[in-house]
Amino acid sequence: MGSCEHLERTSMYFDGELLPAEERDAADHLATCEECQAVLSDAVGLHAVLSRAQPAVVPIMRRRRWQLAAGAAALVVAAAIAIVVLRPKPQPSPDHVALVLPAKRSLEARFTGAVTGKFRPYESPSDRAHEAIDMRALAELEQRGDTRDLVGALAVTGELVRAAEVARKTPTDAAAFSDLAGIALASGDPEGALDFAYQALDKNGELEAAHWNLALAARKLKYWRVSRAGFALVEARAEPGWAVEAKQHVALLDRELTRGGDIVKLRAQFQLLVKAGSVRATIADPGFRGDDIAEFERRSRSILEDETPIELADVRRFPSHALKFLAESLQGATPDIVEGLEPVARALDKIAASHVATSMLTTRRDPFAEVTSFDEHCKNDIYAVPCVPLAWQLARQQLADGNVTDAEHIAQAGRDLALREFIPVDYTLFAEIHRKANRSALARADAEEARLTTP
Amino acid sequence: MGAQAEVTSLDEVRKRKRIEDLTREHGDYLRALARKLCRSQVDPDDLVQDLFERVLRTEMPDGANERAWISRIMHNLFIDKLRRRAARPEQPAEVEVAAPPREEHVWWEALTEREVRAKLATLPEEQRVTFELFAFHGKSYDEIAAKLKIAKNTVGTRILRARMRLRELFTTERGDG
Repeated sequence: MGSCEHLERTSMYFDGELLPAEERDAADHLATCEECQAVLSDAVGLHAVLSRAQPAVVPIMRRRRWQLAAGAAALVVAAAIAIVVLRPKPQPSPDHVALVLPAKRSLEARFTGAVTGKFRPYESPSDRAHEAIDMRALAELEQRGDTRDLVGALAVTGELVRAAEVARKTPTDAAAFSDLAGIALASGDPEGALDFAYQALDKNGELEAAHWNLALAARKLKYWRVSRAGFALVEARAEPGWAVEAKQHVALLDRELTRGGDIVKLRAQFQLLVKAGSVRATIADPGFRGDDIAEFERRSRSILEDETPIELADVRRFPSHALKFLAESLQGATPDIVEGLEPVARALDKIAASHVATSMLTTRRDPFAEVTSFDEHCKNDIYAVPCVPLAWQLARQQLADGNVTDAEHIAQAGRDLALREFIPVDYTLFAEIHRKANRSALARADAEEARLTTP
Repeated sequence: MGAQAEVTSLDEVRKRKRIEDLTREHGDYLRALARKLCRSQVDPDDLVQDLFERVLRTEMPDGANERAWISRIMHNLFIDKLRRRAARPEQPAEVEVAAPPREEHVWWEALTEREVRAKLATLPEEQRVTFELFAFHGKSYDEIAAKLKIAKNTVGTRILRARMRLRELFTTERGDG
């Protein structure tokens, strides 16, 4: 043992065994005592290495199905404790031990067992991420051959590898695939989850749990519309609990999707500004419908003619589009148009902490012409408009060179940017990448998302 | 665009991807660890935020266990925060002060769960049992004390000793004291 007399208190601090008043003293002491810092470091390190949801579980779900059995066998050692309890021939338990679960569920995914599939409100896990279950109940489930609840129970206790093994024993079952999707979600593998959920739905299109898990996976992968469709279906089934939770998800996704609608309005406004000033510029906008022209006409005219300050809230929300609008409107603009555009430029410069936009008013330089590097420009949201097509272009280049992984990374970065700035996503590119990478589930979600996007 | 631009673009993209992956795979764990470290003393969200900023600027050493690596960074950032608070008690802890980067090696950074479990088996029985109840079965000090019929203080001592003994065993094994 070291020489500092507070080592034990430090260890207890990390373990949450001190009173708040004692925590203050322990923390103050930690600031200066190297021995105690080392003790804290030991505790953190062992906690990190021994924490249950080891990333090792993730790769196994990512492998192809036929590789999984072998991979799981290698990792069985890691799940040694569970295996001791769940040996193929467990000792018969003298008493009946029912499976009892905590009142809240720790995994957002949904399982198909009679008990584990019952609705319990979801609460995102904090310190103790896994649900505590009487091990004897697990043994009994196995003895009874209740595969569905055994899988669900293993998953919620964090024994994901073991849960996946058990689920695979009934490979023809839609419920098994749905459960595997749930396990994949729990191991942080939405791609795998999507694949399994689709397989489950191919076998049984009515399985609510599979729709639920598909919706969760799709949301994680930013297929907002695919996700919304899944939750909407669960909501429509009106099952107690699940329908309410599904409704909340639908509402959140709607918010995500209608924010995209705002940009259509904003573009219409810009279009009108351009028209009102007789500026010969067009904004490439396939989504522009022009329904709101009348509503915006008066406003845009007053901005230009009556010097009414422009609504800057919109500029702030969509800076990239505003900058593009500015660049295009300035081509051949008359002095009064330039003057009318000044507030937009000033607001943009404030956002970007630069003078790019105001200097454009005098130089008429198009800053987007210089955007050629994702690296240099895409940290700043105001360049999203040119950076998104740049990402598609770079990704296509990589794909043509056979670098599927790099192509995907770039395309994903492009998609993140596009979704943030409400720029249409090139889903055909994603489908192409996924075809090349032989990942049918993602290609399918891409196609589905594209289908749901076009009304 | 030139080949040079493409290379840097890819780096940038990979960087973003890395943060995204870290969040997806370790997000819940990191938030939980931040709460464990900060307790009632420091804002845990702040610590997680600092961690991501640091991770973006740091390369993971070869062979490191990713979760252990980010945990080490979080531990160091936490200690830095406490130091700053101690140095300037009138200021809130989150005021940014340039702290020297502490990237020294720690004994547990490249360990696997299996290695630790194996080494645990060589510990004195009472330390091993106490530590296992705590680390693998999620029992509190009180629960362990009741189960083993020992004082709560003894539980704390045993857990501390187990941790320090593991450090000793792994560092001697590697020969870097």
